[in-house]
Amino acid sequence: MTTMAERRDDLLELDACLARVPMPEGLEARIIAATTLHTASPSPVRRALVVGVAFAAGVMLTVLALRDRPADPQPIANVTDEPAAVAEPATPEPVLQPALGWSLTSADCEWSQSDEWLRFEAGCRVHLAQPTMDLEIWTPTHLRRIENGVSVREGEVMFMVAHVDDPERPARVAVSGGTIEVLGTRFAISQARDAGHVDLLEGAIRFRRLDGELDAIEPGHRYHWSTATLERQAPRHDPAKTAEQPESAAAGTDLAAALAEVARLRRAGELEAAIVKLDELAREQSDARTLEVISYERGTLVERSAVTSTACESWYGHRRRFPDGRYDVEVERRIEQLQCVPE
Amino acid sequence: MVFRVALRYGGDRSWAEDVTQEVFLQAFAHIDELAEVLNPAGWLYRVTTRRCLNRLRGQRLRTSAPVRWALQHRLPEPNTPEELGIHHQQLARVFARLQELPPKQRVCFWMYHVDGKPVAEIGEILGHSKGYVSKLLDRATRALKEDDHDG
Repeated sequence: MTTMAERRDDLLELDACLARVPMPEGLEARIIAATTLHTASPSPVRRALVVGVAFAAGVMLTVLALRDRPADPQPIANVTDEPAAVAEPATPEPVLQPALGWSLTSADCEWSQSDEWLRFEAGCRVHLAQPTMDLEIWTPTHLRRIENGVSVREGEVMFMVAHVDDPERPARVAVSGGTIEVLGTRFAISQARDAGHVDLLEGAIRFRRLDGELDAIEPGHRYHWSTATLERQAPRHDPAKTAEQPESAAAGTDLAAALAEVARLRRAGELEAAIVKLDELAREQSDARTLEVISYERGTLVERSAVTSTACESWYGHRRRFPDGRYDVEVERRIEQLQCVPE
Repeated sequence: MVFRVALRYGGDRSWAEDVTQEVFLQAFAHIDELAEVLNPAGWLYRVTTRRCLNRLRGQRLRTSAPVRWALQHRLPEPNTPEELGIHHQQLARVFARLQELPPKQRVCFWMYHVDGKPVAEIGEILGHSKGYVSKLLDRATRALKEDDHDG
């Protein structure tokens, strides 16, 4: 580790290096020329007049631009099961997955499909119905439709999500480290293979990590995730041993991998299977903290997949098993929102 | 001195060149007052430091995701350490780490550890309380220590 004295030596040496960098040639002449211009600058009245004229011109241009703005962009193509080329703007033809609600809102968008993933090139603008969101692709991005949202596999993309009326069913954007839950806002995602970040521009979003915990993200903040952390937590398996075991059993012995699997099922909308997986996992655990995480995660799944009374029962059960638990506030909020009959 | 101070905070020659020009224009605009200043070098130091800090803050806004998105703006390539005469790898690493610190922390750190300015004077120059300057220094030191651990 570097001591402060060593660091100070480094800093002084660094400062000495920078001191040796010569001033660019012509800088003095530029400064002298600039000061001369400064002297010859117009009087305050004349300057104010120039600023006023420039402002008026700006206002006029803005008014003109707004007046000539085209109507809301119409979807020019939907995405179909055939690997068709980009549709002509004039003749919108149904293409891949029209039921999933994709449509392109930029004329020159290039896209392709591989399995269930759609790859959009930079510059594409994509509209998604249910939930209503507009995406602007910044770098080539792989997207896939999931229940109530999209999953992002790699790329940089800006999301503009229309207000969601039901706070219990937020729009969802799945990334490698978890799921972003949104009720209407603008944010930009950068997702690499196993890590990424989100920049929240306005509104409020929350990040549901793979272990079920929620992190609130404030406007102007950047939130990072990485699945590498998860991998580090997971014990290493002997590949030969793993191959001998049934897949579910192998996953069941590994908490992180099992939670990742639950997250995958959740993203795929297979809520019942996710609940079964969590129940299996709970039977194998003895640590109270882990059981609490599993129980909470199960509660959120039950809430989405079952009738209100069952969800209430689930939350009350959680509260009884984990009095003064880490999710108390969230559980109380959910009970209140579901308008559960008091126990 | 003006160019060197700007270079250390901005890490780029053209950036430092712009700051130098702005500082001398400001000096020219206040030439009458400057004639009465007892320590013109100190005055230039203050003005340069504040100007660098303001530019770094503005730069942060300009390079933020929403503004880049709105302006379709690409970030210019900064000078490499070699172009700034930093050939030693360890020094280049320290410089790169300092450039990653938030502007206020970066400026405070250089002022305190290299220029030997007391906390009170740094606070006076930057318009902050001594407590806040101490906090900034502490955060910068911790960030660099964490980097040592990671590295």
